[in-house]
Amino acid sequence: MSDSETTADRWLEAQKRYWDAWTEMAQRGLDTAMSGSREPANPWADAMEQWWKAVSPSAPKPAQDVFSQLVNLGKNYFAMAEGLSKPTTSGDVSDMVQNWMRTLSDAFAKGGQGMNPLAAMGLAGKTGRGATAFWDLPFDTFSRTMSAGSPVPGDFLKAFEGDVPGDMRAQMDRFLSAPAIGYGREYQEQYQKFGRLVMEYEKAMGQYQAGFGALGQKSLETFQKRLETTAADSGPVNSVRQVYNIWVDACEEVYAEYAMSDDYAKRYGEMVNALMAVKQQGARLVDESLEAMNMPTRTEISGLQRRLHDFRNDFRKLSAEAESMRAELDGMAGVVSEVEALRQELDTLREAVKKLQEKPAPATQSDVTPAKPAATKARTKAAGSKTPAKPAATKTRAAAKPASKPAPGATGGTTRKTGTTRRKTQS
Amino acid sequence: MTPIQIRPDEALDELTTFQNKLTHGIQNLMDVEEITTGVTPKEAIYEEDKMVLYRFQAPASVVQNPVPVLIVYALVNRPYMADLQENRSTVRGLLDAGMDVYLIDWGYPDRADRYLTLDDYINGYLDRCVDVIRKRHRLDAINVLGICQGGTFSLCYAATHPDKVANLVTMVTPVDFQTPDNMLSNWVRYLDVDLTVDTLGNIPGEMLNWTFLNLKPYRLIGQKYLDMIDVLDNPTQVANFLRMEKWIFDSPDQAGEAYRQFLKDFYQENKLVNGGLQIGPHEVNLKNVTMPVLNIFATEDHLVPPDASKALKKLVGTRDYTEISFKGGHIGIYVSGRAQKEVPPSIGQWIDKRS
Repeated sequence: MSDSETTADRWLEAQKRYWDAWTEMAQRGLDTAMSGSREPANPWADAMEQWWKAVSPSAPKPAQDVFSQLVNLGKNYFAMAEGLSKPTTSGDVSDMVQNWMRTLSDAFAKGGQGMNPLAAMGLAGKTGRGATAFWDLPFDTFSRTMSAGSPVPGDFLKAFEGDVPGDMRAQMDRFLSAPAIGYGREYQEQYQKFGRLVMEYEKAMGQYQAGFGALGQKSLETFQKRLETTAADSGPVNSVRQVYNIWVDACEEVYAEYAMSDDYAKRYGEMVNALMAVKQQGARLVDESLEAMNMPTRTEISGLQRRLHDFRNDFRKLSAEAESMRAELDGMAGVVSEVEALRQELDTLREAVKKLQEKPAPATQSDVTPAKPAATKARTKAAGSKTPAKPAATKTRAAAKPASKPAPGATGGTTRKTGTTRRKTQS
Repeated sequence: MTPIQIRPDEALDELTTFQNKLTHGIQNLMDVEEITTGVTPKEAIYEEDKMVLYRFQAPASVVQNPVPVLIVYALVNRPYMADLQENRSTVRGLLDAGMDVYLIDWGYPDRADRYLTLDDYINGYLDRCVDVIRKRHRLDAINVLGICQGGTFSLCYAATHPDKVANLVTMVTPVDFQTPDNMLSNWVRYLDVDLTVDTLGNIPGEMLNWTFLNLKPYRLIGQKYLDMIDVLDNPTQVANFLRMEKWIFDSPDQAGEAYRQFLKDFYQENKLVNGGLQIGPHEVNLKNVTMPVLNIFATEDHLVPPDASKALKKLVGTRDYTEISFKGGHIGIYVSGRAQKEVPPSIGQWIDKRS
């Protein structure tokens, strides 16, 4: 048998044993409820608690977290059922409901914890903040990280959690605002700033939580109204689950109304901004410590990341440009081959002209030898009209000048002109 | 009349049933094997940094539309929501409707991605994915289906690259970020976004989870788990519940610079409606969205209220605008049984008519 199977068997065995105990205990609770006895106080929720204590040690690890959450929810659910089933001195059901509502009302009066969604469901963190648990977490982590190198005690910040009397806060503020002096003044000043920001954050968090406090009574009223509406529409509510669902709907309605208000938005914004200021200052202090240890700081790494990102973007842009130029060049491939064909044709023509030039001139003809085929026309024209042809000035000039010169000199002139023409073509 | 009338013995019955389910449910929880997601076979077509472009394998029996559909998912949460399980898959529904489906998985950004901007996401990754598909299919333009924040990205993309988008489908997409019922929008009004991003760098996924849970805390943190206890005796339903739970909390961190611009320009300044939105070198004007648009929203959506989506109608430049209203929530529109029957076939028919 594998280890996991053994664990599972133990777990199931523990459950089986406990199941009998639970049934018995629950029956006792029912008897108590029926008889009106005052003891034990919360038999069903207690039974749930006892059950979990008994079986959780043998529960497989991966299931423990899920189950402990479910059990916490279950306990609250059971407590609700208990409240709704407890006897009253009068034995009247309406008194029973009123008692339960009064209990809820008292809970709300204790600073709005009843409206704190996580706390209300038994899922509040160790700080008891529940709905704000996320905002505690990074701060706690930071506080642990910093405690080693901090000039203030590791638990210094804990003193500011929860309600801090106004005069104490003011005194701490004065202490943290005292001018820093001496060799470590810069260092001290940074820590003082950190301390002040922590106090501001605690204040903002307190105000944020206080915002929920005012909602308790309202949600109770909404709950009552919803119960009455449900009872009027479809008869009295006769299951714990139905009551729970109506309770959830009422709380969601009141919460949503508040969460959409400007007041909530301000408190929330101030709380988050204050926390970010603390974290930023904390990061600065951590960076200073890292620098002192000759280690790379977060600021430096961020700087490198930014540069890398910028380089990558530049590289991408250049690659895209190169790609587009390559595509353009590919598109030009046809033009290039056409130019090449023309160039070859030109060379052929040049060869032909050269051959013509190399032929001895007839005695009766002028020594004028045009450099280009176009000049043939000019020559023809010139031969006819005795006027040098126009088309290419250079050629015309070359044709005109040697007219009175001997043939050998004319050859050299024609060659230069040819060279000039080639350069032009190439450009 | 007393509104509550619960007899103690009835209450005990309820609690005994509850306890029974709880204690026996542990066996089913222990039997649950690794939660799998993303059921439809797919092939990675293109990868860049942490982003992967997938193409889903279509059933051989279905005649495919020659113009593929690219699903652009949000940066928040993971895209396997669109292909969650065998009988809950928008992707599968689209394939069955004859679509050739591609999907962008943005991956999990880490600190190396802290400076990725919306320009990088929209004009970079998204545009390159579109180009890859266009090239593969030798098309000038493809169909784009944007989901939630991915829909907002798709709108920006379609407005700035209209020649590459044949048809645009947006699902539960926020357009007007400041409708009176938008809770998220109210919460960020006084938030110093610069301070937050400068301090945190990337925004932790855990912070987003916390934010989303607090939109409906009593329901999402409490009631939902009591509902779970009700199904603990059914192994299939337990697995389905845990699969959904995995998706809900599987939230990638958000690249800091992209988050900064998204919160400031979209939530705080509502520039998609008010104008003045700049994504990299492009100014985004929804009047340039001239291709056919299908806008699908959910009537019970608590994250993207229907009015936030419906605002699109008056802003786009197209004359071919269609709306589909789905009775359900932000997640139900992908995974509910009714959604499977209604949503993907409607998208398929709408696209086919325009092909």
